[in-house]
Amino acid sequence: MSGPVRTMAVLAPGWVVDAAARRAGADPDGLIAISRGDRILAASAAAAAAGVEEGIRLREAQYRCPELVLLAEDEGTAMRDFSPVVAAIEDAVPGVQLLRPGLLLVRARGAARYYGGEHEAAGRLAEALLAAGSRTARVAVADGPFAAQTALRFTSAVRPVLVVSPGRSAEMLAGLPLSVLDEPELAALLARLGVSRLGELAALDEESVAARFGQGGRIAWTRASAREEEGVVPRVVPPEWTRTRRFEPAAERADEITFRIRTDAEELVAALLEAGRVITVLRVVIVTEHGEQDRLWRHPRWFRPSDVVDRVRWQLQGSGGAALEAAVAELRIVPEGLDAAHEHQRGLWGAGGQERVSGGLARVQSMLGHEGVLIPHLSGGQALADRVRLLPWGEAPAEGEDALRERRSRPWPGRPVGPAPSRVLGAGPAVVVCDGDGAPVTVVGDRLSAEPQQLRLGGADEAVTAWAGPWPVGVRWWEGQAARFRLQLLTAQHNAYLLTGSSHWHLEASYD
Amino acid sequence: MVPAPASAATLVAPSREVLDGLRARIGQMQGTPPPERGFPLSSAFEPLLPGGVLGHGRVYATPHALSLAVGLVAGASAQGAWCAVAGVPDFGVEAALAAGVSGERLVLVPEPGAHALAVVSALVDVVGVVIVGPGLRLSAGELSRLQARLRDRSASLVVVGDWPQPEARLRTQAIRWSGLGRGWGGLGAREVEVVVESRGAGRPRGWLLRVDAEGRAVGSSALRDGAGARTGRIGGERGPVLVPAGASSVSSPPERWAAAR
Repeated sequence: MSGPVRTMAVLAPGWVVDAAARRAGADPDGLIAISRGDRILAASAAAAAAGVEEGIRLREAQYRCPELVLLAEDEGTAMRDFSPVVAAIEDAVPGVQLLRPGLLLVRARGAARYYGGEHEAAGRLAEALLAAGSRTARVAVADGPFAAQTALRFTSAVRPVLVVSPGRSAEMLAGLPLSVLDEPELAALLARLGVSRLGELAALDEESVAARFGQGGRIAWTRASAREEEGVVPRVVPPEWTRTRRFEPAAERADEITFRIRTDAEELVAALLEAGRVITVLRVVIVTEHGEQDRLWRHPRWFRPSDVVDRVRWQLQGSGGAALEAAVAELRIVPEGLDAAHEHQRGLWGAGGQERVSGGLARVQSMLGHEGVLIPHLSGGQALADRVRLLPWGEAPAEGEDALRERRSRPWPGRPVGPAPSRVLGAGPAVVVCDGDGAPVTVVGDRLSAEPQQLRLGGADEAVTAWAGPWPVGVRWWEGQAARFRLQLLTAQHNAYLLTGSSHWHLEASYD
Repeated sequence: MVPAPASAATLVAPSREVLDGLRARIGQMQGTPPPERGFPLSSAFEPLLPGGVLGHGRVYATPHALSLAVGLVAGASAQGAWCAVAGVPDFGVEAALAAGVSGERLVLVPEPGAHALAVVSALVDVVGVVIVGPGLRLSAGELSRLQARLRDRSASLVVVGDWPQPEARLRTQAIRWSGLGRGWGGLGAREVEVVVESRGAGRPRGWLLRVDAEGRAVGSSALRDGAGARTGRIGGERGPVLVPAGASSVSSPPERWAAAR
């Protein structure tokens, strides 16, 4: 029993928004918010003033602030942008735990001793943060990581540094609502028992909380009463994991480069395995005379050496062929995501069904490229082709599964009647619908100009035996877009079609 | 296993094992017997195929009829098999899901391009059932290698096109849609006349497949006059349309456009 560890929480409040705005070329002081899934993750000061709060739904945010510019979260890039800042803090105080881009934890004791007090150390960290390029800095010191992070709520631009005296963190927490714990289910259960504030939870007996709510309840109790014993887990930065290969003279062929990095990839994977780690997220940085080009690759399981080489090759080739656009001077392979190897043991020792599929699909990917093997994800939209998002095997939707699910759940006013078509062509070929005199059939108002008799596609005619429509497709015609309609046609050849258009028709899908 | 030939000195009456082995070999030379093992079919498709299964190591052809191909693999997919679709860039995922294919175990390789054979072989190695588009062109040697691989991996291949000597060939002879009139209604349930030519099963047989308005095959029944000439009513409003027997009466639009493009 060691008691809570004095912890400093260091926050760069606008970091995520600033970094995203910089990348997108937007004004960081404008009305900007970052989305994760269908929620607001962070908002600029201006957007926050307009009522865009963290955690609200995107639609709510857009309702409150119609001019809001939404940027999707890109955790990998945000993390990379933040790493020089982490390095600067590590220069000032060793043993930093990175929680997310913009938020760090530091063990207070050593720093306080070195800088002559917790206030001094906190001030020093705030300065280091500002010097590293953050526009704002907040530091809070309290008993344990949870109390320190929560104490950040009481800091402000006027009082950027807050030190809660040892033993008084529970007092600071007592008045806060349970939602601070970020355990909605537990909070809902406790609310039914009449417990709504951290102080009321802390006042309960630890053992009874643990008996009633399990380990999750015990953790919540130790947090609420500022008795957390787990301290800061300093991040281990193994710089030796980054493999850098320079090419002099610059390499001009993709196969030459992949050949030369093969051993690097093998050594890297082997060295990590030795350390009980496997790579799940990999960054490949290609330096050419035109500049740096980097990309984050995720693997459905973990990267084997050949997977690493494949990713490098795909990135080198880009969308083009074997010839490179510019000679490559340097190539860096950076493991961004590491996982404990034992989590992936089955994959390591081969065999299970899922692993076999994964390995085989990776092999097909290495033949056709990353985008060659696709997994369907249901989404939403007006066009049939938009309602299924095809993503490369191993990649998660950038906006999150929840966002796709939310999009799927939205009403679909232009929904075609009947079964889903067996073939979906997206923007398919142009077709002509003719009436009995061979004149094109168009939409006038909300009706067809004449009865369709012939369908002309690819130079061949099919006699129309039945049809229905036009059904308006829910495009926003009031925004100046031409109104579009859908038409179902059945022909004497037993073919059933779904057409989209108004004066000119396109084949959107067909049924067989 | 084929036993080593017995020398004249040790010639004895062949054991039952030896006879079975020889029979199996003769069977192989004459053509493969109907599959004993395979993936389950959905109940509507079960009567259509020999053995009532999608045979392990077998190839099925559904020229021009993607929904039949999807219907064939739906049972296997629902029972836990992975399903891959190669060379069908306009594959309707939602129709497949409605037919009973599991979206959790569905992989699409829309453009296998020049590597088509290698891709299909690699897919056969890891997934249970593979649907391939009509673009796969194979030499005789490649064909037998692929079929050997299918048998080796106990996988099934469904070709949305033609194939030399498939286990079974399913053709759509006529489709009767309900719900769509001349200017009213919308596509709803349908009845599909399917002609099935199975290897070693004599003359083709006709089946009526009932598909509900969601796109799920709900039942099937044998057609009295098999693959004979049928009359089909299209859309319920027009007079009967005579469909010639045997011929592939339903053309495949996407293939034709591919040729026109």
